[in-house]
Amino acid sequence: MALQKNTFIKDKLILGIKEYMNELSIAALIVLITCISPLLSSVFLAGDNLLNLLRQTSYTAIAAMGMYFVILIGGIDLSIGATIQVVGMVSIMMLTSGYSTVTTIVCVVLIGLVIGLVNGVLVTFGKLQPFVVTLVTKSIMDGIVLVTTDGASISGKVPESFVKIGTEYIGIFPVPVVITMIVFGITFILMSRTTYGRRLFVTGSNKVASYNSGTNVRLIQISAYILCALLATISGVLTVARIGAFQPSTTHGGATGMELNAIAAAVIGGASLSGGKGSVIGALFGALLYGVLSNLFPLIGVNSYLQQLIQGVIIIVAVIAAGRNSSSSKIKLRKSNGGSHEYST
Amino acid sequence: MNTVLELKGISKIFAGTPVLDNIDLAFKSGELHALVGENGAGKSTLIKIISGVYHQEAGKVYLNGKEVHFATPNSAQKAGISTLFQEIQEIPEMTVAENVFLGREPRYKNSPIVDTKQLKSEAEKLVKRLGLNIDVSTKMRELPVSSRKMVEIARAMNHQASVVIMDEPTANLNAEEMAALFRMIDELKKNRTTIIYISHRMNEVFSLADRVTVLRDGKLIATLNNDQYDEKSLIALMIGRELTDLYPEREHSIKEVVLEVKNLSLGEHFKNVSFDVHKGEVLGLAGLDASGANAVTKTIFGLCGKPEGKVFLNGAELDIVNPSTSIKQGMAFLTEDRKTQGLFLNQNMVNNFTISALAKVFSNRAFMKKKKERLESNKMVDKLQIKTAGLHTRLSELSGGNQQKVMLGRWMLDRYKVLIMEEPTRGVDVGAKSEIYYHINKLAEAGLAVIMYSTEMPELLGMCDRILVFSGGELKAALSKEEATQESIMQHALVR
Repeated sequence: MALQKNTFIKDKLILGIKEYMNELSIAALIVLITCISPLLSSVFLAGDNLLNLLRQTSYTAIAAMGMYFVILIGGIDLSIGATIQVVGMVSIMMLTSGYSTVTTIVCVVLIGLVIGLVNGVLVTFGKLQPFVVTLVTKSIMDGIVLVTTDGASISGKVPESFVKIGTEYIGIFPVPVVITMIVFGITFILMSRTTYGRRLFVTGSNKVASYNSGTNVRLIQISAYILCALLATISGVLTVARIGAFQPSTTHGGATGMELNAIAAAVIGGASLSGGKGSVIGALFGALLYGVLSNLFPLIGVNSYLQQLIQGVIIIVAVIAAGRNSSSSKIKLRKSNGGSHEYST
Repeated sequence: MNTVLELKGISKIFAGTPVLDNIDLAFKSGELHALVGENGAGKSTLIKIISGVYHQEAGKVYLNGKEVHFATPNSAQKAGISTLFQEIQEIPEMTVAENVFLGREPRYKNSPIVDTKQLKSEAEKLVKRLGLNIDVSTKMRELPVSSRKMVEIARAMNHQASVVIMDEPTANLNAEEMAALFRMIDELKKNRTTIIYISHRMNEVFSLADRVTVLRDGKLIATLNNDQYDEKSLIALMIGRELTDLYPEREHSIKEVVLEVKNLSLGEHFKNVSFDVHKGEVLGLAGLDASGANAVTKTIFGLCGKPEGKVFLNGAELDIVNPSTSIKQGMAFLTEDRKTQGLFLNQNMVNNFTISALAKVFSNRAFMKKKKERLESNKMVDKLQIKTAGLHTRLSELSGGNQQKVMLGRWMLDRYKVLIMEEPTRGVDVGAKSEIYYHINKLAEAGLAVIMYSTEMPELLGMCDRILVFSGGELKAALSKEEATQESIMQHALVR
């Protein structure tokens, strides 16, 4: 049917709602939890706690937005937790030996770029599975951290300007929260307004078709891994700046296991591990939902072991719900038919 | 003849739109019953209901007089309804024999252990009986597409089904394999098996069908015996109007040379190929499998790396590196396999339309011109008369003909110099075909040089100003419109 001009705005609206259905439902869920929270805990809605929640969320949110790019093109990056560790270690080592905050940050950003480049190049030119490549780079980086530190923490005199990044406020907001919003703004514009974003999106949907229509698929793929590592680096700097010291592996504030939290957030937000789906807002909201629950559970007396279990259940429910409302009846039937396609009749 | 399968009052609704409306249809034992209609007429939906993939909103299905409900394709298969889907459904890492017996492997007595010896010998017997020349112990992935399709057909036959549904079975087959398929069909009919046959190729319907049912817009228009129709009346029933001419007239104004191919060679695929394409011309490329014709089109667009020899575009040497550089130089390419190599099926129409013209037309520096994107996409929907609920529609929700129009539209959003097309109307119904031809003509009239590779001979004869015939990697003949006939093309295309 030919489209009339007056359906134009309606079309744009449907386009918007259809595209952001998943994000809207997560936002609704977050609002719902917030609304019923006074019944459960009097502390949750207090200003201090909310700001603290946002700060806690910001580390995961930045990493999740980075992970979104890799998942979008049908890849995965298991090395971001290790990247955060390396960034933290190098930062503290440099700062305690007298390098300035600026030099240190420039240095770790370069390290982040190189990690992303290595992941991207191995996946693209080595024709290796992203899961395998990033598992290996994760293992190597974890090894480097343990060998260098001998498993012990590093501390010493760290410039105040560095610590401020993790602890200071801009207006009422903690610096990490402001940086999260800036990262969100940039990645959102990148995805929704630039040709690069469009190419990333369609490449995730069908690599061959994207190549045939003039995309440099290799470059796009490598760039996604670089973006992911870069955002992990930012997350790493913010994490270590809060504490002002570095402690390797498990005891450290959640760096190990960050990759799984980031993947979970992106997936809750509607990204699909087969690529070509999801949005930056989704990843942000996914991280926020995760943060809200992690914050709320201890307040209402859920113990941390049970908390893990409940979060797992929430992820699976969110993913199933996302699969429901974003796939049309046809696609669903296609899946249930064991991979047969619809025919052209 | 007694009725095997009967449909009573079948209706199906998708997203509020009725796609099948109260269909009553009976299939008799031992007949070949063809279902014809345009894309979106409801043929596929109907066979999916019969084979248990979809479930009807209303109506009943009777098999041998008993009402049946198939929850899954598997239960339909167990009841004796075997379906040969359009896309190949095989396990590439398994052998031909294993694929043929998938899910019903012979066992040692009643144990769960597969009797591999018997499996192999049974498969060999079957393959021989069907007159195929395939080694049953090769892995599926090592076979060419057409042989894989034949194995698929063998598998469908192996189910001892009382009803076999075939959806476009000849789509990827060469002449020899088609003959083998038709032998199988004869054999099935001798065993009183009912065949439900969907095809866009009218000549197959004419030579094979005992009865034909025409569907249009989800309604059953007519069921006719094979002496009750001719090509013209059948097409008129399908599209609901008289189709005056499948190949619309084009104003012939062939001008200067646009593309000049000189001594092009690519490994073992083709050698020393030279030809010109003029502005306003539609040049056909014909050839059997592995003739090199298809490799030439892919090579010129930059899909096969750097070839030997030279190609000139408007006098300047064409830099053949990859599709991206080719597009920048003014080359456009419509791939033969829209689903895997052309479209982004889970994305909306805008993303599918504008991707190739993103850099030049729809962006300012790196930023998208979103409003222009939507405006131009809407214009293209109007221009190509694409049936869609709106720009937000995902491509997977469109019918084959409309998907193909989107592919064509992608190359109409910018000015290109040469348009290379592979199988421009594969899996597209008569009505949409004629529309696509019309737009190809318009593009040629507007000054594009069009290269068209096709295995559909009538299409080449109907559309092309000249036809180049390839065989064994060499350019054998350049036939003018007057010289070209099915016979003259085949004469040059056959390897001697």
